Amino acid sequence: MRLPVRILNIVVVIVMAGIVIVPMAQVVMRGVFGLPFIGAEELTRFLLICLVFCAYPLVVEAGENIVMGEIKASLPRAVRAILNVTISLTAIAICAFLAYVTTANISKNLDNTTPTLGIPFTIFLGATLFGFAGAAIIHLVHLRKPPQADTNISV
Amino acid sequence: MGYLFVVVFLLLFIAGFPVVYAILLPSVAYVLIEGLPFGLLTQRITYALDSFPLVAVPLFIFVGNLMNLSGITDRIFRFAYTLVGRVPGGLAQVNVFGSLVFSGMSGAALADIGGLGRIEIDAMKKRGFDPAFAGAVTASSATLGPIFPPSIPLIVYGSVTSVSIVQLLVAGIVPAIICTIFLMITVLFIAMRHNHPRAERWPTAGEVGRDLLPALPAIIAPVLMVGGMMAGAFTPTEAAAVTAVYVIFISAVFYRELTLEHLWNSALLTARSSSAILIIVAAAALFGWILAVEQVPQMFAATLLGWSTDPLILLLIANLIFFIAGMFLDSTTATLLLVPIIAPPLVMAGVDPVQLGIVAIFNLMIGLLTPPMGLSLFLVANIAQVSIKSLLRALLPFYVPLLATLGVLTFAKDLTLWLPRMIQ
Repeated sequence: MRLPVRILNIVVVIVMAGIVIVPMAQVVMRGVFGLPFIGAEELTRFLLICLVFCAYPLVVEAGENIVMGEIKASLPRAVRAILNVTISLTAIAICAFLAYVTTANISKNLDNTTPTLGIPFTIFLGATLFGFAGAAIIHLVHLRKPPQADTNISV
Repeated sequence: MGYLFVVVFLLLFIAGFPVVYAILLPSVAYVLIEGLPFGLLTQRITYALDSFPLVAVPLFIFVGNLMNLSGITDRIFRFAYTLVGRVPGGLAQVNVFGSLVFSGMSGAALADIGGLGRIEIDAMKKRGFDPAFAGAVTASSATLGPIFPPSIPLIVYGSVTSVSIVQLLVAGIVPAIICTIFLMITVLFIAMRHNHPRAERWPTAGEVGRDLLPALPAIIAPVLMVGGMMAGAFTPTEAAAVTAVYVIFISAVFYRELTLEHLWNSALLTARSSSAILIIVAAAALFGWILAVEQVPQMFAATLLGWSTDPLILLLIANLIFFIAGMFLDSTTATLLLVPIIAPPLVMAGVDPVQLGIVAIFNLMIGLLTPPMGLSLFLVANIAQVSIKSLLRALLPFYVPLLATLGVLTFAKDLTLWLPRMIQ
């Protein structure tokens, strides 16, 4: 798991850098040179989608999904174990199903593109597919020992 | 069907399902049962994030992370200590004032607790303060973070309601200052009663200048940001990007404490934190759409407006709903699920959406300090190494200034709205 995680770390850091740079560049280009670049907003929005979905498998891997685990933590160990497996199975089912649905969606819209920059739909929805498919795989790997902490996690 | 849908979500949520799956499971089941096209699932989820204002969320999280990792937090603390360390309450006053300064660059309560709060609690413990009291001051003053601009919860609120995010952010300034004053008065009374330690003497002008200089770039940041937005020079998202670049610049050039490792870790942490929050925003868009199809907001509006059409009474009811919700839900989830249902009837009755936003978010922030699921409570208890029970006991007097601020926000709407009106 180490190599894919490392590669994904690099990808999300690059995307994060893009999220900082593109709006900043737009401010400079518009404010200083009077030359706003068309499509900056669309590109930034696309980068946000990429960031959220590309980083989601990392969130699952680190057990950082937002959860209110107080009540679960107070349950008997056996009940908690059953609940953890149920949560993992549910997560796998939902993520895998959404990955499948996204694939179907992409295949039906192969010729579509975004309005300004013309980003192909395969790439635009590709991040969503990657996010849910990656999350499903990691949940599957963690099935026997769910990574989700029993304690509350938020940001 | 609509109410059943909500009940299933709540059951899963209480059972400890990650919020995103607690939302997605009933949503996916609904689409399957109703025979709706599957394509709708991914489109609703993905397009919810196709929003320029939401880009500000990772940017402000990034700023908070950078500040905590690159030494800016220490400078803010040192300046706050020099300035208000002599006021009765000493470090406790520093804690409150420092949180206000810190919140000018970070937009999340828990970032305040995890960064500046950690430094403050350690310093207070070393000076002989009761750890539970140190934790209580930290937790209560962290409520300032999401009210004073920038604010991640207000950005989420704005994106849900289509209210101007600039107006929302600007509207938070006066309430945050009022809350700071109330909190400092409370600390003053407690300190005088328990004879808490404080700085031995008032600072000289030279000392204030000496510690102000290193903290100045951090203090200037919110002025630049709010000034730029009010002048129309940039949007909130662009302001967030400018702030991020500014923080990188001052950390690297001015403080010389930014390393590539800090930058890397901040970016990585931000990516994960943003994903954890925004994946819920995406899932909640689907959930909200289903609620709309089931006409839940309309039913709720009819019920609410059947009780009263007086804006003040409706606002008091909203206060109660958000306060209770804040006790059980985290602020993002509560904002995403409740605001689309509660806001329309209130706005229809004449409640200002900007005032409602501030009231709602402040309630949810108080909710972070209340059991059974107060996230600030757990984090602070962990940092201060105290039991929840003793922390709650120490927190009791601090609910007074927080509720007093809430009262001011509810009854004196002009205080909240005069700044945003200036930019209308």
